[in-house]
Amino acid sequence: MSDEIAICVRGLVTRFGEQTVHNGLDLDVRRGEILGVVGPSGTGKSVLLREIVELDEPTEGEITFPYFTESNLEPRRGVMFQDGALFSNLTILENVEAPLREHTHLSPNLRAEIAALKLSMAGLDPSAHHKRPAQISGGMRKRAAVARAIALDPELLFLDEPTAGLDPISAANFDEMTRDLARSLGLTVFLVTHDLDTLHAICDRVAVLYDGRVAAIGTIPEIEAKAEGWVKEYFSGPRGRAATRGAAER
Amino acid sequence: MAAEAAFDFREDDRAPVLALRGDWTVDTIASLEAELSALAQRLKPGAVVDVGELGRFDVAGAYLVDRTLRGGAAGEETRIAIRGQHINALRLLQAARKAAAPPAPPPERLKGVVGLLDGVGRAVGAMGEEILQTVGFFGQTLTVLARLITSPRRIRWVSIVHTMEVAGLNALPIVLLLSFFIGMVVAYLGARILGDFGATVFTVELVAFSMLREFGAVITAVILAGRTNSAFTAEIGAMKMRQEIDAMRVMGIDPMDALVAPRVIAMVIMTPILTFGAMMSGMFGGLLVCWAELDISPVMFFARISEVVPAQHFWVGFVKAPAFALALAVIGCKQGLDVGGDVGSLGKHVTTSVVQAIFMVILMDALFALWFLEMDL
Repeated sequence: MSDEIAICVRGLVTRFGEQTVHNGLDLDVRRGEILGVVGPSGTGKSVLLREIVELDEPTEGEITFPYFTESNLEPRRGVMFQDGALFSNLTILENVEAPLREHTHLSPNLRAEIAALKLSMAGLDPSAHHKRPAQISGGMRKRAAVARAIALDPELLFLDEPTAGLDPISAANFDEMTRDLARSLGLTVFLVTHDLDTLHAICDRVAVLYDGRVAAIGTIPEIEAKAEGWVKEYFSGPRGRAATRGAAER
Repeated sequence: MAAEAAFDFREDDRAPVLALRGDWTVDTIASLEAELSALAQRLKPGAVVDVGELGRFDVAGAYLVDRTLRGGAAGEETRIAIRGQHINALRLLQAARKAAAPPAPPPERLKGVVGLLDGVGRAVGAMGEEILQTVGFFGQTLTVLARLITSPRRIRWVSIVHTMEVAGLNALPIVLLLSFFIGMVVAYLGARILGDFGATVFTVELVAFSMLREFGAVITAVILAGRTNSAFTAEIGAMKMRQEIDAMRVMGIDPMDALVAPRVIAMVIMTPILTFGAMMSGMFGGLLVCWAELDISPVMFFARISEVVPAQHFWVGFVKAPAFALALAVIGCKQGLDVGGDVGSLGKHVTTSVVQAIFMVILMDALFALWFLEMDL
């Protein structure tokens, strides 16, 4: 992790009709860190993610990528959506090849090999290569979705609820995979989650969204030290305590 | 901007050195593949990768370098050795080595004549299966309807009326408009051909016979096959995909009661009404053409119809409507319930639904025609 800022959000306001989701939200994501974003349902975590990847437009405010602008690079983004959003009429291997086919001039062989490498990095067995998304389990679909997200070697990886709906063992394996990928590829990860174990296991820092703003940001001990209100309830409720204990045992 | 990827290969006194220059990323490596494959052939064990002048490096680039190393004399056992400083080269090379896995070979398919025969055989088998299943579903629908007649409290009126509006009433404008045009076309045809025999007055019979006996019912059914069948299949299919049908089942709600029966009943009620509208609208189109082209006044048109067109022709056409409606609704619902888990299956079943429905309408119409002919109606 470095002090360079990969994603910079300033004064973000998002309104849907009468309802204000973000109200002057500021957030910095450092380059190379895994940032966990938490908050009660409906506080616009997924909306924030969608705005950073330019799927939605904020009502006000701006989102910039200072590190990439300074070094004259394109901030390449890979996104894993909640249910994977794999193309259901393509096989798993073809799904990962799709962005490569669209954006590079690699030969078909090399393209398939790189796709297979990415699938293997995401922890997916070659036996799944020629299956369709409907034929594999939810956990495997999520892995395939991550493989597709990193197909073009993005610097920024966005994960929306990656461990939701996975059994605890798969979730732990998935966390490990995310951490390994982030470390070995030097990714900056923006991770929206409700999973306290994920936060403890892999996030360098955590940002808590509450009431349209970032209510707290920092490492978990830092946040817990000065937590109040919802944040306190979140980290020191029964589940929060259990996750802390779990992390301590590890 | 990305610097072009390039490499030098030299054998210095200690070991062969592969020196990388420029950016080696997924965008830049495409042109190097062939050269590196050739290089791998002559790579001796103990090769070193010089990353001193390497720019940006990513997994795709690392994979290609590692593949070259593994393609050399020492094969999979080649050690990854680098020379020079780079921010992430060693890490990425190791990651690529650790995860390297060739793509699985595609599943085998039968080729050539055998493959063709295999495909045809499966298609014929599937078709037989499909016919059997549809007939079975038809029977199931009839028993559900019979059960509903004996216990009318289980009939879902709200659902029926809603479907009557969406699938029936809302289709009225298009049905009326299209049969109006068909009526005009038939009248023009009559005026032209019968005119050659000086028998233009028979145009009235032509329009009345064709609209009442055939076109009214068939046009309505074909429009409904395109408009309503696809909607039924898509609605029920989407519910199936999102597990709503499973949710109904575990709640003890029979989808046959809740989804199929209301649609069938609504269609059986609305199709005759639409058919009647289509008949009248077609005859009106014919009337306008007769008036404009043949100087047959509306009064004369009606007088002639009541004189020479017995009411049985109306009934011959009209009784077909509920039969068509039953076939359409059953096919639409059946295909919807057959949808599997993915989007492709939804598209396939919607297509099948419309094709089967139109096919059945024409087939049934032919059978009706034969039967009425034999009955002298």
